[in-house]
Amino acid sequence: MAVRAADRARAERLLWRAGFGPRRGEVERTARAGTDRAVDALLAPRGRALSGRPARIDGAPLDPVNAYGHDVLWWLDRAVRTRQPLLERMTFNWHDHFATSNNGVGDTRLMLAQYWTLRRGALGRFRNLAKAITRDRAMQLWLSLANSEKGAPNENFARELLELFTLGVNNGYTESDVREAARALTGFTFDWDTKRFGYDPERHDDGVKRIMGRVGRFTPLDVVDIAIDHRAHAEFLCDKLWSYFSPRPCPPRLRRELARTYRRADTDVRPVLRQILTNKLFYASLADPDMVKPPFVYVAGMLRATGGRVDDEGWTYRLDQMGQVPFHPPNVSGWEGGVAWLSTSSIRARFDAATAVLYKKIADGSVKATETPAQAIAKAVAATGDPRVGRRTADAMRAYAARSVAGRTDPWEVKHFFPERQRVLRHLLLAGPDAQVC
Amino acid sequence: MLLAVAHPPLAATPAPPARVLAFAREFRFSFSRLRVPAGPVRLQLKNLGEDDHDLRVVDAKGVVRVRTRVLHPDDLGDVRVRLPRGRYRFYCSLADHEARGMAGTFTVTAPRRRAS
Repeated sequence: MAVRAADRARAERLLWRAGFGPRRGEVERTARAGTDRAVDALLAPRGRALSGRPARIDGAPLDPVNAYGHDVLWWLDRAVRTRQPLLERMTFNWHDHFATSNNGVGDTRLMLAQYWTLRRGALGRFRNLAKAITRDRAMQLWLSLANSEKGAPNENFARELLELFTLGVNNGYTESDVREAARALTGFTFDWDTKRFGYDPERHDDGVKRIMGRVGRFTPLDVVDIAIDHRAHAEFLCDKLWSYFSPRPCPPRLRRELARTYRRADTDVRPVLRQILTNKLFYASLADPDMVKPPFVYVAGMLRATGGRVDDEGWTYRLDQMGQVPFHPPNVSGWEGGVAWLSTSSIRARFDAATAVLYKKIADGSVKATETPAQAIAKAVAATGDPRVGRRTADAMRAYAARSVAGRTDPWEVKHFFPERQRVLRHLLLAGPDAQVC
Repeated sequence: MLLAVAHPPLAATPAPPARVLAFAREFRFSFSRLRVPAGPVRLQLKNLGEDDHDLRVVDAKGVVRVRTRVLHPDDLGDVRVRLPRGRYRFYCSLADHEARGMAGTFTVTAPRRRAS
């Protein structure tokens, strides 16, 4: 039985925004199951995390620690091969939220360890994740928490914990709260010679602190609890979660409902995510999608849809040109997102990415002159994962499919122009306007 | 009757180079590893700092085995070299960077054995 167009569109929306885009056949399977059941499955990932074989470059396995750019390829490979898309996508979302850059840390092993910390906590209690990130070694170097000590507390992490990670700018705390939180966060150590991390109670300020109305001899993880227990936290965090799945502002009433769910679940994000991914606003404007695919999602999705693999180091460079390199966010605020992804140079980079995916896939001489325009379009659509195509794109494809080979009958013309038609059609499906949004 | 047919030995596939990634900033190097197997080595140096840096590697006899170009901030240097077993000293040759801490040693160990 054919899948209804509306169900198909909902499935496609879910697979792009709650993962890295569909693999071939996945839209139909999800549409048949229904999005509610699909959401349940996404929130309870089971079985193997990855499908297929790990990526290889020039015949050798990836080496994310010892080869420049291979950390990026490693994560891209995971996104392409993931069988647990929401878990992997939320790991990436938390990487944006607790944005830590290897440009500042300078140690890929620590960044990979942070990846696993984020992944372990990605679909769990935010309170636990925030505490784990406070203890995370890459974070401690990035925001100068390591070697912040009694008498000279560094305010960097304290400020970002309140401003970016838990409450929002000036949303319920003062400069005094930041200073007092910094005192409570002292004691973590790092020896640059031995590369050992630790905690030294002698270097912790064990005096009484006053933080957002609470008074006590607070230690580092107490600060995390104080921030999360603050009345402003739940709506801040739920608003942030919503923004990862929809470009539209979260309506105040929905934000309050999400915050209520979040609090009742003791900061477990799964019921909040279920509420988001089954909300009618999440499925708004299916015929005219309005969320720009972040570069990392766009690239992984292209490879998933075409059955491609991460097999060349150029992907690191292309993601850089698009403005999003995993493990290297521009600053602690993460990536801006939205229409900021689309500039003349980043659009060009997305165009080039599609060219790379299609490179040498359709040889001259591989298409017969008997192929009709309709057959050419059907073949291109099937090869690119049967993506959603708007009316303007569909019309343009039909016109091009007929015009591009009209009158081309000489053998040399058939050899070149018929395969060229297929290349262009696939390229339009992968890099045209419809492909940029979900 | 069995015929023994002599096959010529298969051509050995060259081993991929051992890879090392180093980050440079003011005023230290961070190497992804300080022990590499002897043989071909591909060393990449990324300048994460705000000053120019370079990398020189000398063997126990003081012979310079690796010399990168001067890397501006955010530059990536990429050098391929063959290194025999031994201890090597590395440093930044610019200004007083070595004295400020941009120096260290690494060891090249016995070569990797490939399965026959």
